[in-house]
Amino acid sequence: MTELTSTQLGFAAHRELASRHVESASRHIESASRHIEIASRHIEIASRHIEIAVRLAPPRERAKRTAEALRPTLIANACARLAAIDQDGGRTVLVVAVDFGEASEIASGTGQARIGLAVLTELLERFRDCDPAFVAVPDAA
Amino acid sequence: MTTRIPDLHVRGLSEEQILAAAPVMTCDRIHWSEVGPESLSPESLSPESLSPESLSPESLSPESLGSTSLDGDIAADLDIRALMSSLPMRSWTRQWSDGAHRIWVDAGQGSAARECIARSVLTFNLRVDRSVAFRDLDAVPDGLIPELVAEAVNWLYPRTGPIRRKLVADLELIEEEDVRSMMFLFVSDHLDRFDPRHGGRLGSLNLCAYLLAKLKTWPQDASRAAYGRTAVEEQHAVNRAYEVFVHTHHRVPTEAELAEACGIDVPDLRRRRRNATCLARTRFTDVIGDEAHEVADDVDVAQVALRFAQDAELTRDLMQAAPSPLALAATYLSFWQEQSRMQIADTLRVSPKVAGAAISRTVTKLAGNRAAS
Repeated sequence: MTELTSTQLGFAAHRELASRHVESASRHIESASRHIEIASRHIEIASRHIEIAVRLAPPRERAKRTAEALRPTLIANACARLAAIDQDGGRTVLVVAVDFGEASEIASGTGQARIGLAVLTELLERFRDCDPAFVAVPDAA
Repeated sequence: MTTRIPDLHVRGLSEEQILAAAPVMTCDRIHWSEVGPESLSPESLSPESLSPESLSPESLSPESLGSTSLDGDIAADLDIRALMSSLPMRSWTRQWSDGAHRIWVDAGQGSAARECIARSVLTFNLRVDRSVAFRDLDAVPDGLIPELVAEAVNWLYPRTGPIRRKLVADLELIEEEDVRSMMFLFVSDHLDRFDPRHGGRLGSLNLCAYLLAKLKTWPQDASRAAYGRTAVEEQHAVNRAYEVFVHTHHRVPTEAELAEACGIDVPDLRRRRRNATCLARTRFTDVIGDEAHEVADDVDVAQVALRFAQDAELTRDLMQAAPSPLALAATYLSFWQEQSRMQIADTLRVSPKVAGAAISRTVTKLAGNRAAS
């Protein structure tokens, strides 16, 4: 039996270490691709959800009070988000986008569509004095 | 980084050194008019009365102010120095550009001085302002005060563009070239009230900082002086009633409805409107000096309110008319997101025919509801 020299032993150790690194890297790649797959599934689901935006337009001097009144609604309903704040002709414009669910929920009037409809109704009633009205959902940019 | 507003210098003397000759006192100020409220007409602010010739530093010296064209009539009617000598207490006088008479006495003696003045001359609108700051600028030697005023105007004028533009826009008779002269008078009027002890959190106040703060409300003050406080406030009340009506009823009120909302009759409303024609572009509640607000000034508040109210009404009607979440979503995507029938069908995973039918049903019901109401 041939005795391995110290140099050959060193090479062997390096090869083993390298193969272990390759194995670890491939595991990471596999994990990353799984994450990408999950993320793309989320994006697909999100893109299938439909949002309806409502504009609240209190006069400038009542804007702060309206924003404070709106806060509990946004906290209580994860499906509603403040999408934009703007000024228009002496009014402060607060745009609230409400998640109306995905196509199947909208078609059946269940799930998120039902919740979204309730939130929309609440916004239109509670902020009646702020002239609530539908507007296009503002661009994310 | 904050830039300190500079102290002014005249003939090598700082503003502090110049004004040291006229230290701040706490006084009661008695003021009145002899010529009636018509002295506050727009004519008193006409360009003719504000010609640069009448507003040179020399013309604003304490001696000459008693006989400028602004108060010539008053000076002829009343010898204010003689009146002051008849008062039993120490007193000072200084002419402001509004033409009213003013006498300052030591704080606490305002009521007594008022009694004496009321007995001596026929007064109109005799008032006492208590515990106000006053500097006896007559005590400053060598015509330094007019030069200090001129120096202050030179510094302020290029830095007050928005205020100047607002003044020209609000007051019909004022042209851009009059504003420098008016600012000269404004600074001269405020100089005897300058009290550096009233500093802010950044330290004591210097003259230009004080004047800048005062200039912010200058256009409103000038509007009130020109048109009269009553006319301004009456018009303000009408505007407010109009806005409330539009907001509540989502339409423009008739003359009778507006009069009722103001608690007056129609002839009175018409009288107010006639008075308001010369106030057409005046805004009484705006903050001056903010460009964003000035842009907002040009907006027709009633039209904006109407537009918002109509949008809100349409939304409410649509919520009632939509028979299902699908119909609501389809209509929303069609009219607010401007999607085609094909796109809506794709988004909602229904056939274009179903999407179209949902929208049609909603719109028909909406129109029917609106016609019925």
